[in-house]
Amino acid sequence: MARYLEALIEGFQDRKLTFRSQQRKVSLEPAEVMDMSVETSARRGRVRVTLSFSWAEEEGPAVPQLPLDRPFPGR
Amino acid sequence: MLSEIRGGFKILASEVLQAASESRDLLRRRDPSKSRALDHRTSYIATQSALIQKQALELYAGRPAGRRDSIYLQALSSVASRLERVSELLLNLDRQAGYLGSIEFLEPFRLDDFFHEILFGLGRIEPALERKDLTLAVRLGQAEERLDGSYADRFAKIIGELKKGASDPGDLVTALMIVHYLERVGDMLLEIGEMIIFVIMGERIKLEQYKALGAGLKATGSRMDAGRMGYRSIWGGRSGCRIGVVDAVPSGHEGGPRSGDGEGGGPWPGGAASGPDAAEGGCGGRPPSGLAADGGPDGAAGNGLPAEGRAGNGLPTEGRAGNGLPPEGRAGNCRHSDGHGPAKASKSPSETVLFKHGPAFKLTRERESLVRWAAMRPGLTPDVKAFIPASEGSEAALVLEYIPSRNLQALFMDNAPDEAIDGLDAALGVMCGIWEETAKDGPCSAEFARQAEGRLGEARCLYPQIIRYQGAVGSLEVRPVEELLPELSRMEAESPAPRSMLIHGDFNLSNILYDPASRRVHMLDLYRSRESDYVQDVSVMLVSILRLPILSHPVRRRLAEAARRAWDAAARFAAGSGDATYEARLAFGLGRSFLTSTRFILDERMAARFMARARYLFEKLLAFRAKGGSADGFRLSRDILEIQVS
Repeated sequence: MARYLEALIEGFQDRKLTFRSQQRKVSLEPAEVMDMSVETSARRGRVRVTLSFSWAEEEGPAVPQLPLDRPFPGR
Repeated sequence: MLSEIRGGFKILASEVLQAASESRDLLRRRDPSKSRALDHRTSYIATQSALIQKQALELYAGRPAGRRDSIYLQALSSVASRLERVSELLLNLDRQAGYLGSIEFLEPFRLDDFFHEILFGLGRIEPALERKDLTLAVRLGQAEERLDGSYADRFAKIIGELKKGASDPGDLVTALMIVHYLERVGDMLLEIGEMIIFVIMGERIKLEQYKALGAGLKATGSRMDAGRMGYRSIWGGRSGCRIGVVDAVPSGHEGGPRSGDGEGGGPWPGGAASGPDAAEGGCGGRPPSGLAADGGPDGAAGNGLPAEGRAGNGLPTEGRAGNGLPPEGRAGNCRHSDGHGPAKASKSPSETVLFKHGPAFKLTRERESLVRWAAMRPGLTPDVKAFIPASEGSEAALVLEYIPSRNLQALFMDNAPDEAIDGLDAALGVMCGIWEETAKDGPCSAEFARQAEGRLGEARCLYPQIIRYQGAVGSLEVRPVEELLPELSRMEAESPAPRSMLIHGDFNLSNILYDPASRRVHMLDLYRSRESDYVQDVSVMLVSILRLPILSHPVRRRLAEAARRAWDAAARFAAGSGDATYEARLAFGLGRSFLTSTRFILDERMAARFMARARYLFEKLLAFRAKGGSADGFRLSRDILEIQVS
């Protein structure tokens, strides 16, 4: 898990986040100033920590969505 | 409605019999008007078959699937469909014959041998179905065997002629097509026979399995009496074996309806004196004169239809006790309604046994293991009652003691986790004892990575997007797991288990029976038992617990508890035996089981979670090795067992 978080940190530092899932690829350019929220929950013996990052950008073409609704296999 | 369907079926069967008779005549002498008549008859048969299937479906709709009348309707529909197929094959014969230079070309191939069997079989379908006559049903299968034999003979003859450079290869190939179609009719007769066995026994069982069952019961001193014998299939196994629970009738026990078809009573072809061929007075053996009643090979005159109750035609008549079957409906009492207990047929003394039929190599190994385990721990495994080696083909049969306990998976699924956990503790205790007792110094490897490679095929078919997943987070590449396996295999070879032990080989919840009252545990399915790394048993057991599709939160918690107990018991055993590389090997074993278990999991999200666990373990092992770690320093957290269920 640490390796994935480190890769994310590296992306934020470089202001370039890239994700690839099978053949689909997404590149994002995080703003210098962004919002961050942390949510935690515990239900039925399962603890969840949700980190959320958001930033504003000029409206352009929609960012393609990666199908990450299922658990990312690189847990 | 039912009597209408039955009437329609009787007409259908007689029409197909007539079509066979016409087809035979057309292969003796070409006659365009008869060809047209056969064409029309085939169309009529198709319509009649479709009508019967439609009516049977309408009547069947809404009925419980396992009821005798439901089975009858299902069989009627299937048999009608196959009879239609027979008529199409018969029509094809005539069309093929049109390509011959002369119909006389066929004479040396003695096609009457084929028609002898076909007419015999077709003439018995309707009586066999209506009277639930097992002897006749089995005889249909024998017709197929004889047709196969005739086909093999003609095939060799035709190939021989072609090799000699025959001047008429086109006609020879046409003749080959014709005998091939005739052989296909035999396949239909076999399938029809099996559908009739289904009606009588209430279970889908192939003729070959039925024969093996007869032979197996004979070897145990029981005999086959379908009328008083209970048979209940156990579905859901993945071993490739057919498994059934049989309430057999001991030899020599009399009582209940007896058959008129020979002293052994059962229409079983496994060598008993009462086999179909011994039942000449009734309905077995070669067709008696006039039976086909088509003016056919035996020269008898007639209309081609088996007449109801007709004397002297070799058919069992209504009044004849004939087949040893009880009155209609009685067989429906053969099963416990809860589906757990053995099949019960009657109040007569009986012995319940487990019948397995499947690949000979598996059953041979299972038998050897059962004998070995029984010597080591009497009563732990079911007694071997009989083993019937493969006589032809590659299928064998095993008759085992039936142990009327439930397996641990069933106990968990039926919301009895306390009993299941007790049983698991007992089973782990037994296995630790066996591992220790059989331990031999010397390195050994379960080769988990190689096992995973060998078993990925099914999982890849089911979840290609998960098994072959690849992606990236920034600069971190996520490689498909299958690409990691060769490297893992090399790493695994560097850290073998220090000792080999006798393992179960498929130590999962469904292979452990437990009786809460006596607190006795039994083990099943030992065909993979061998000397190997005990971590194989540990990892298979842990993942079999985690993959149970139970959503109930309280039961899920007990499952997690069971997994932790199994983990702890195995860890204590490893520590007690000074097994320094245990945790590394467990990571290999769990990774393999998480990965290959995806083929048992129908919920895609759950499969993805299992895959994620496998990836985690494999990547952790590889990262550890990349840092130069030694296997005895590898540590694995029990948290790996905490898996979210959808």
